Formats: sequence, structure tokens, C-alpha cells
Amino acid sequence: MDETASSVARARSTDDRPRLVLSALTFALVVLLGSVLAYVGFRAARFFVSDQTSLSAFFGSQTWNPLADGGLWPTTVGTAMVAVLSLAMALPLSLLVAIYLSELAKPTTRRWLKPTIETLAAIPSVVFGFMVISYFGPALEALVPGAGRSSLTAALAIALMITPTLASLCDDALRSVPREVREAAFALGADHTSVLKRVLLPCARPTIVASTLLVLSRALGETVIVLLVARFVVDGVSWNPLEATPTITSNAVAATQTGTPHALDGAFALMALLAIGVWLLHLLAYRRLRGLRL
Amino acid sequence: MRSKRDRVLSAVSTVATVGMFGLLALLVVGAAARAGGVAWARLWAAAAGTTLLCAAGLVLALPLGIAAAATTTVFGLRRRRRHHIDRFLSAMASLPSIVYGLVVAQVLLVTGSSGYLAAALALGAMAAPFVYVATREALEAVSPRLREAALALGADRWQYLRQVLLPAALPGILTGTVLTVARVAGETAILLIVAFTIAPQTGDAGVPAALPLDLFAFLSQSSSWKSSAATYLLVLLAIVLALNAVAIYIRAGQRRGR
Repeated sequence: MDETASSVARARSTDDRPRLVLSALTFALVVLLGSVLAYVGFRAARFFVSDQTSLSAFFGSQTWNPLADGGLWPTTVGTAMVAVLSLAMALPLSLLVAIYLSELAKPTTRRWLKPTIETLAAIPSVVFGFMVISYFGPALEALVPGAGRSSLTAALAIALMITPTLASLCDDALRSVPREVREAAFALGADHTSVLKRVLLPCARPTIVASTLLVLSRALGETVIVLLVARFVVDGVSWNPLEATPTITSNAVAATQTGTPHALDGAFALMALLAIGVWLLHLLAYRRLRGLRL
Repeated sequence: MRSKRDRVLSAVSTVATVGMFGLLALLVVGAAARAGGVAWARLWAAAAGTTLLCAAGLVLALPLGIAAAATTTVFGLRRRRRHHIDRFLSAMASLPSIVYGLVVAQVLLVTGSSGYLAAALALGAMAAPFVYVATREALEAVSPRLREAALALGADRWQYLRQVLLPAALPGILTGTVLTVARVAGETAILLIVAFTIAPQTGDAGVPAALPLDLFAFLSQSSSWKSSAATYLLVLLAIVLALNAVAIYIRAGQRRGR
């Protein structure tokens, strides 16, 4: 009895020091990342209390100028439009690729196709920027003058960037549907299309929606493609996908280039907004996923 | 007997898959056709700079990310706190990378620190949540029976972590690390912010040399640079794809080992 108690005490004491070291490192990481967020909040707060800031211009103005206070609407509309357009292109394509991968591909094909698609997911965004500038931009420009560098071309590049990730996640979602469910549907005489439409896709929908939300946050935060492709900016709110548009991220780069502290404070205020948006998407996605597990 | 719409569905999804690969193959072939002579010294400097930045970023991200994952999975933090840390770190993994660049540039570069240090710190901070998520998944994939067996043999949690859990999860951790390196190597937004913050102060001399940065510079300049851009693109793509091949190889080895 005593012996067990003392050996437990000894075990406790031997792993105390490593535990402390690991906890300290974890604490350091949380503090490091937390201070990044805190700094964004600090600069955003400084923007809103500054005498140079005109809140009515920030919230009301329709023109974009990183040096002045106009900024909220042109950049948020631009950010949302690029992200939504890119998802509108990427989601159908990803679903088709996922259907091919999980339903139609032979196991031998699948064995190399799935890792290849996951490899494509790691291609850096600047590569897709190159692709769109060199190929699609000129082609679109020939069709509609001025459309070569527009939200639409930027969205196309982002769609190409996120499709492999989204396709792989949708494939995981489709394959996680229990086999009995699938086989029961086939046994009832349904053809493959109705099994997909009535059984597999509805069953996989929560996971697909959650994956889409996570991928959407990548599209919202994309900087380099927007900068390369849609940089030459209209100065107002643009709802036309065939025009260039500022986004929250490209606005931050523009503010860095102008270098004035006030412009940067404004960029941080918009960035705080974007971070909150991304965090909400994350929360929503995880709530859905957890609902699925229960 | 397949119905007509089944055939349509399979045709459409096959075309979509082939089309996606076709587009990317077009990119590589097109870039290879355009690739031309570059200033080899500059390319070499950029490749060395990217390697240095990746290494420095990993030195920061690996210990922090792995320690955080080990703490939340093995060591008994209170359940609530563990849950909060986990939530926070996985949310940070989806924060736009440019945020790290902006903050580090404003905090460090304004006080005159070196561009390499600032870029490495921002890249490391960006990579740490990725390492955390990958490591946690790898640790959780290890069978709980191993834990019970180790503890039943009288191991303490540190011995269990070091001698049982980490070796078992090592392939998964390595895969995650390699994929993170690929992300860090291709990360452009952070470097852009760092470069644009330094350039007006000290001129181009203090700007870190890195492949994605040069590639961006070529792309935003006139068309005469396009051939250099194509060469840089092939080099960057080759590095990223090679890293991924390593990751796939490790993962395949892990599956064979089981």
C-alpha cells in the first residue's frame, strides 16, 4: 500500500520538470500569437480614437484611398466579391473531382491520384498569380477590354489555388459516409446519380459545408494574387467583377507602401475586421463539425 | 446496366478531374517554354535566402508547435484550459498570413532590426500553428492502448511521451513539418510587407533575398522580365513539389510499417 503511494509520488516528481518546460513553451507560443492579435487590436483602436480619423468618412465614403479615411466599403466589397466568386468556381469543380475520386476512380488510380491532389494543394499562391497573368488575363482582355486584371481573374486564380484542398476535403467527406447507408441505397435499386444526390451528398453535407468555410477563410486572406492581378485600382466601390478592386489585404500592402502611420492604422482596423470574420467562419465550421460527431 | 445520367455524371466528373490537372500541366509546360536566362548569382542568392528563412522559421515553430501539442494531448492541463488552447491555436492556423507580416514589420523593422530576423520571426509565428495542428493529429492517431500499456509498465508521462508516443507519431509529425516547410518556402505576402517596409528606409540592400519575392518583383515589372519569372517559377515549384514528394514518401512508409 505504502509502496504504491510512494511510487506514484516518485512518478509525479520525475515528470514534473519536463512538464514545466513543455507548459512554458506552450505558454510562450500562446503569448507570442496572442500579442500579434493584441497589436492588431491596438493599432485598430488607435485608428478609431485618432483625431485624424473621420468616422463618417470611414463608414460612409464610397471612394478608396489608403491615405484618407475612405476604405471600409470598397475593400470589404472587393474582399467579399473575390472570395465569393472564387468559391462559386471552386466548389462545383471540387465536388466533381471529389465524386470522381471517391466514386469512380479505381483503387489503383486513387492510390496515386489522392496524394497528387494533396501535393497540388501546396503550390504557393504566387504561382497561380503567374499563371493567370500569363494566360487567362490576356485571353480575357481580348474578350472584354480592361477585364484582364479584374476581380474575376483574381477569383479564377484563387479558385485554382483552393480547388485541390477543397476537392480533397470533399472526398474525405464523401468517403466518411457509412458503407451500409450507401449499400442500402444501391440495394433499393437507385442509380448512382440518385444515390449521390439523395444519400451521399446530404449525408456528407455538414462536413462539406465546414470544409468550404475553412477554405473560404483562405480565399478571404489571399494577398499576392489580388495584388498581382487586380492591382490597378478603381477608386470606388465596384460591384462589377470585370473591374479591378482593392481588398482588405491589398489595401494593407498599399498602406505599407505609403508608409504613413495613420494609413497603416486604417489598414490594421480593416485587418482586425477580416480577422474577426475569419474567426467567426472558423467557429461556425467547428460547431458544424462537432454537431456531426454528436 | 448504367442509366444515361450516370454516364453523364461520370463523364463530367472525369473531365473536371482531367481538366484540373490539364490546366496545371499547361502552366508547367508554358513556363518551361518561356523560361530563359536569369542572373544566376541572384537566383542562387534567392534560393539560399529562402533556405535560410525556412530554417530559421522552423527553429522557432518546431519546438513551440510540438511542445504545445504534447502539452494539450499528454500532460494533464485542466480540460477547459486545454480546450481553449486547442481552439485558439487551430483558429490561428487560418489567420491570413499577411497579419504576421504587418505586425512584425511594424514592431521590429521600425526599431531598425534586420530584415532577415523580422521575416524569419513572422514566418515562424505563421508556421507554429500549422506544426501544432499536424503534431496534434499525429499524436491523437496513436492508439490509446499504447498509453495504457506504458503507464501500466510504470512509465511516467514524460517517459511515455519520449519513448513511446513521439517515436510512434514521428512519421506524422515529419509529414506535417515537411508540408509546413513547403508553405513557408512559398509564402510571399509576409516577405512583401517586410520588403516594402524596409525599402523606403534603407534602400533595397536590407531586403531579404528570397525566391517568392524575386518572382513577385519580376511579375509586377514589364514583360521583358517574364522569362526570368518563368525560370524562378520552375525552381520554386520544383522545391515545393520535391518537399511534398518527401512527405508522401514518409506517409507511404508509415502505412507500409503498420
